[in-house]
Amino acid sequence: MSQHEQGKNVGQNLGESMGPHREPFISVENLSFAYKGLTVIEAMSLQVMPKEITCILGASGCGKTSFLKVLAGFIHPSSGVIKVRKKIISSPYHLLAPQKRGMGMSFQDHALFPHLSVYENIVLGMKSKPPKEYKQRLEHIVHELKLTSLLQKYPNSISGGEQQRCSLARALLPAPSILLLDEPLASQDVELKEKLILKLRSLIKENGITALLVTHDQQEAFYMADRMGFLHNKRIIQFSTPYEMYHRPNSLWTAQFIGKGSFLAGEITQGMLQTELGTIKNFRYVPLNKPDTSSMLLSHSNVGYPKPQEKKQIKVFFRPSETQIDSRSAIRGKITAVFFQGDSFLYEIILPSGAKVLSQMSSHYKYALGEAVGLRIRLQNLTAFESG
Amino acid sequence: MKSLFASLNTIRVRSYIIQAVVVLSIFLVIVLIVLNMITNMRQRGIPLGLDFLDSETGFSVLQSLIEYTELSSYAKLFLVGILNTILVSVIGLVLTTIIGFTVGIARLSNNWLMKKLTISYIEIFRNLPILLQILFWNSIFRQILPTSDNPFSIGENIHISLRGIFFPKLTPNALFFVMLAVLVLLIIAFVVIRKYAVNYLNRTGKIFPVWRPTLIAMGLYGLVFLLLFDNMFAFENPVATRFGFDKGTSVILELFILSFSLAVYTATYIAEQVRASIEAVDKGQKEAAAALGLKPFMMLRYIVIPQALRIIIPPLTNLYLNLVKNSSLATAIGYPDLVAIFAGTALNQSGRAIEIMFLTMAVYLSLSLLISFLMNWYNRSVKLIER
Repeated sequence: MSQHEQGKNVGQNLGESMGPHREPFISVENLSFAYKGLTVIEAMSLQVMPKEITCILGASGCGKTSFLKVLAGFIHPSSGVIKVRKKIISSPYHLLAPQKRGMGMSFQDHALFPHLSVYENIVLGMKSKPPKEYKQRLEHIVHELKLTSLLQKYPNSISGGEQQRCSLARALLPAPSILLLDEPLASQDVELKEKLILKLRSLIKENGITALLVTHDQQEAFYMADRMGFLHNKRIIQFSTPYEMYHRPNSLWTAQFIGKGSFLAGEITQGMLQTELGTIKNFRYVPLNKPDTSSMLLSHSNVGYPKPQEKKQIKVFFRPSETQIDSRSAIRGKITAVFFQGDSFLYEIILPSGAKVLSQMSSHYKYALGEAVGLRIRLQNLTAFESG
Repeated sequence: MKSLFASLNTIRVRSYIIQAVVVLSIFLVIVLIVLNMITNMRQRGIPLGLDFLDSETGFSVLQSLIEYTELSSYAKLFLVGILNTILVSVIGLVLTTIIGFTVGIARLSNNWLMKKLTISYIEIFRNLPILLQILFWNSIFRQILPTSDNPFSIGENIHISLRGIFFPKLTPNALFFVMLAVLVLLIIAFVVIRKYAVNYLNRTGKIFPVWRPTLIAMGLYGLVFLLLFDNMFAFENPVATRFGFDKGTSVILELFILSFSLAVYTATYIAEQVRASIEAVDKGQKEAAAALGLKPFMMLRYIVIPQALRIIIPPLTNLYLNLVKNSSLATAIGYPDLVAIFAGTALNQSGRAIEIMFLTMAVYLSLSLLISFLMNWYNRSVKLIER
């Protein structure tokens, strides 16, 4: 699939910046490290483009924080190379001191200095610079992150969310060329979070900062990221735009972790997909042994994938929004669970074969638990995973 | 009537009553003891009172910081004892702070040899009784040092022997005080200029040079001081006599041995405290400082030390108090401290046990409270502010 078609299919044009010909700003090559004899990251590769926000998404405890600390130089990798602007900052033969890496970082536990006021915390990184030089930026950051009334307070007397914003301001003020963010908005209230995400994004963009963010929060990742990687089982298994990540997952793991969805078993005959719901002609086929795309700048979803083989067992992946309840449909099922989500209901429906699918309907359409319903599924842009 | 009883039968009232009863009974016991003591002393014809302080002592003391002879009064002896105790304590405190902090920081070193050496020092000297250590150093130094007719001399005028350390007595003249005044003026000028420089930086965003001129001024002053050194003092060199040395100034060996052993012992605890409080500063704090680009020295100066200090002061106060109190072991090697000459010799001579014991205890109590007060005052200035 060519670059042109790719853009059209994805439906999200990020313009020139997505071109794979540009030099990466941070380049991680075959990085591995172990903590207390346990391998946390194995042979991971990643390329971060200049002035972009790259987000690493992964389940809790998958090594996201450790990865950031390796980049910052607080943990030493067991092998692999990290380069910034082609210059090696970490290799088995050479480790650049954390202070000299030019990387700012906001920490998961905020790590504010308890003996300094909020103001002193924020400006500590500017010790060697005259206040005149950063006064305006300081005021802007403090205002955007809603810290104005807290400046004279001490970290132990403010809330967790306030501490987190203070930690962000402290990391942003020196405008480092690289900013590492560890769950930057995890402690914020829901209603403030969305606003802060956009503000944080614009503060990063205004200052031309290259940011690397790790989080387990999909919303945060989707809102912030220009590109995102999914960290699973010690390495990044998919690296793409947030849109691709959601709609064109390249593994069962990605599909399961990102957003909601359900799988339906099927078989390939004559190049077509036979499922309980009927025959599907157009689908994206992801084999078990797909080529490693983790180091690619952008994993073009079907690049290098073989044609589907006959008689292969597969699992087709549906998003709940593409599965609609429709009484006229011939496909019948029974509602086994109902989740109210405010603007919508999520229904779990059991099919005659025993397979379960999820359906998301506007909450004005209300169905009862145990009700028999018809199902209509949009059979387009589906992904079929080889299931062995 | 019942309602009055019920209203008094609350937890608060009950606890007040119990406390009042306990305090009263303790007070009563003390009064009984004192009355009994006074009666017994009167029966045996032992006088009570501070009048003895005016009488002559009739014995001399090895070292005194003020004029004292056999003809001086017990009051003067009391003062001599206090000053000697303070002298050995102050020297010990300064020494132990220097050794303790140095060893404590060296203990954190990544250098294998440095680490093992400091650990060995700490483990050996922390686990031996202090009295044994004082006796140990006393016998060691007495074996090493030569007799006074064959002293170990540094240059022409400094002589070290069993009799102590003899060196020239320096009597400052007018020029010295002029130089001292210049130094004070320079320090004031430095403080003022530094304050101005901070202001200037905040106002204009430009740096006003402070450190380089200060270094140059310090160097110049040091040079002038060295050049004029011979002209600033009247020198009185120690003179060799048949029985050792005369004139000049001397430090008795006992002072040196006692302050040294107290310092070596207490420093092991200080070193452990220093190490513990530096290690107690969260690793995340150092990472956060590094992420802001702070160099190791700046990290120590702005993040680690301020946080370590607020942990270290309370235990350090205890260790300082211990050193001062342990200085009363002076008797073991014959250093004339308050306990040795006042609660020892003076008590035996005058037989005024009660008065002398109370006076001596009052001195130690005051010294300890004074140190606690100073340390608490310092602690308040460095402690964590939470508003």
